[in-house]
Amino acid sequence: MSSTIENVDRVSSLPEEVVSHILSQMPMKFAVRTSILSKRWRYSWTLVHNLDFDDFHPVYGLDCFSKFVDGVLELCKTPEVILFRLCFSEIWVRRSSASKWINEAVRLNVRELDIQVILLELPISLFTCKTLTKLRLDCGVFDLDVWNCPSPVALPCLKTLDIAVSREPSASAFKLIHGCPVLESLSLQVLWRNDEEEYNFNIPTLKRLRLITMKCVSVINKVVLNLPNLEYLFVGGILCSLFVMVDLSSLVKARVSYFEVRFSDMLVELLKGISGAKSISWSTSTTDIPLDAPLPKFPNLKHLDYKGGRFWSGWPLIPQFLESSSELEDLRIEELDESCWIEPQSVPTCMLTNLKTIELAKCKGNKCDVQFMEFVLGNVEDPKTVTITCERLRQNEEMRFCAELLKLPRASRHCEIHFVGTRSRTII
Amino acid sequence: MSEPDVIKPEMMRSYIWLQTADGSIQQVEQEVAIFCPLICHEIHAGMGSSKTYPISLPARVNPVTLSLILDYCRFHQVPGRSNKERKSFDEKFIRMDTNRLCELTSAADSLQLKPLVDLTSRALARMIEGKTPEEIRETFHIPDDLTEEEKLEPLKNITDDPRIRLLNRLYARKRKELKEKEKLKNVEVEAEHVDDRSVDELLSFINGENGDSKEVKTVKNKKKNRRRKDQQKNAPVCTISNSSAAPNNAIKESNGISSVGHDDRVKGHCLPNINELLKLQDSEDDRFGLEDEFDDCDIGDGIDPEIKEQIDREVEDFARRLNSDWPERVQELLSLGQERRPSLYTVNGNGCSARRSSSTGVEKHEK
Repeated sequence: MSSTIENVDRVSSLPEEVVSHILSQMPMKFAVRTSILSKRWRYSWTLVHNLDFDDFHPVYGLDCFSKFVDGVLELCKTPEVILFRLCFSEIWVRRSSASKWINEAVRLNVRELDIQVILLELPISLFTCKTLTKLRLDCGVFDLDVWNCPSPVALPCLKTLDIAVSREPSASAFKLIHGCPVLESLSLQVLWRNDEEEYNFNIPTLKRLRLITMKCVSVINKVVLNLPNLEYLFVGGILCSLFVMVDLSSLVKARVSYFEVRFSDMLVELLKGISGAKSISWSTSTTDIPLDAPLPKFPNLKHLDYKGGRFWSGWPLIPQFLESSSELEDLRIEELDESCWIEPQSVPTCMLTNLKTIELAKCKGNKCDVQFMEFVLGNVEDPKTVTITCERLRQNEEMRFCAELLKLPRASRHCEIHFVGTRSRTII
Repeated sequence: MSEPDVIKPEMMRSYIWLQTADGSIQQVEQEVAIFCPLICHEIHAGMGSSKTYPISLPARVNPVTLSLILDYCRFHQVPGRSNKERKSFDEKFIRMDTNRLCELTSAADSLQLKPLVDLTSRALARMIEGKTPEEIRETFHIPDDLTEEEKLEPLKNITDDPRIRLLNRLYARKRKELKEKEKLKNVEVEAEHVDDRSVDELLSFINGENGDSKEVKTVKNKKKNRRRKDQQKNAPVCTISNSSAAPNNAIKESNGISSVGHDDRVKGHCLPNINELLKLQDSEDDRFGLEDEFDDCDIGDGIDPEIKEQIDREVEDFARRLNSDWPERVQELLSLGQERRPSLYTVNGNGCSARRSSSTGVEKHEK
């Protein structure tokens, strides 16, 4: 087979396994469409092991889509399904249909199930599926009686669980969680917390946890984390819970991303709980509720990623973080808007010893940025990399900013600033 | 190992000898070569250490693709690279014309180099998804060898069973003939049944999203199905010799269909078990052994006339039942082998009713 012949149909001569692997990497709709390419392609799609049904492409009504899924499941010849995805965010699927489809997927030894459908009834077989390793359930806000979670739940292989519940997770989500003996990664989104229910996370195998509360009433609840092997914690949404950390001894990275904090005490408690982390990613507004208490010490913290964003400015906390983290090596500050930079009383220890990488991302060249850089450049003994990235600045504004940075005195002679503008990069 | 004039430290590495199907031999650094599982196995088996005993690579690996594969291995076998670096390399690496990409996929597959197969498959998948069939055919030079008829035909349960394939082809031909007959008659526009729409929309959905052509096809299919229904209603008692239950079911079905309000089924739904049914009818094998000659579209040739007549009758009946319900169709097909395996129905009867709630739904409608 000479590669100089240009019009040879090579793709059709690939082995069937490879062809079905290719077709498995696209939504089902496109895979099925290959059935009219040619004779050879007529039934290749039936060996696809990923059944991915989404409605991100135009469809022709609920009925048609329903029938399409039915048809595919009937004709599909693969003995084992690896991924089964139902992602109809715009279409309300008939309850019994979705349940039937999931049941069929379970029957085909599905390993990953991704259900994002409004209005859904879950088949009992799902809760005792022996092959399931990954489950995602996001049924929108209307999940009324979705969760007729039977007891007992037994999912012996489930390692990743990603669920969104509209309320009362104990009735559903926690039941599910307790039925997973090898759970390693859990994401729980509570869309509306309307009671004082205590959330108790007691999962020895868990390595990653994401806990988000989107809306809640004004009652505080308690969240107990007894997760000795947890390495990554992501908390976000509204902070309206008191975190009690029984055991977070393995924590490596924490991400705190609240758009609303009800009580600043809760935030401090949370910070105390994650104070052993090596890396923290912070994007939480504290302007409305200034912190009364000082921050706890972060003895292991090496990386701090501090994000601003349009809705929250957060300069005030930076000096506190710097003061509390003597081992800090990398500091990254993103998109902080105009505010004032208040210089700390004394130079934070980390700047004198460990701080190596400083990055100002999505910078707008404000006065506080310059002031901050002045403080940094004047005090950091041995910076390895200083990077400033600007976005959406006009050429003249960029140049002005650059000029101001150039004027700043530097503690270290070897210090170079990598300036990344919208169109060019320079080293100053 | 090669023998350089000046021995430099970096040249003191092991080299492996590889031979491609065209006979050419080349040497590669061992740590690069062992990234390919197949080569790794061969090395452990003692091959490839010298020029006289090179590792013979599978035929699908030609020198050009081998060089690409080795570039890939050379980059990725270095342990210290970050994910970002690897991803960036992959994105640049994958930029090549489709011919080369296919060859590379094939070669990587034969060498069991899964990460590269994944990478190339994804690239090929991106080239396929979102495109119309015409565009895909053009990109890959796929011959358009399906007839229009076949393209519109509902996908049935695929099987290697030659009898099913034969029957499917004959049904297609028969449908065509029926359609032509109907063209002579005057047909009024009727309200569409949901049943019609399901298959038609599935077909149009499968066939592509070209707005106009889709609508044309849909309309055409609806007319086709409607005419067929008329044919059904007007047809005399079925002439198939061994199908006793047929006539009543025919009438029942027509009524059943018109009263179906909503229905989750697709035509292909019922056929999964036919495969099993027909496989059990071993003695029928001989009659259908001629299937090898039928691989082309023109099925008129080479069929034993006696068989042809039998098939025609069956086909006519089957064509009549294209919209029929699952239980009735099972009965019919079973009746083909009723003398031999009377117990079949029980087995499949259980399978049938256990299978879907929609079949019980059907039974309700029949009442």
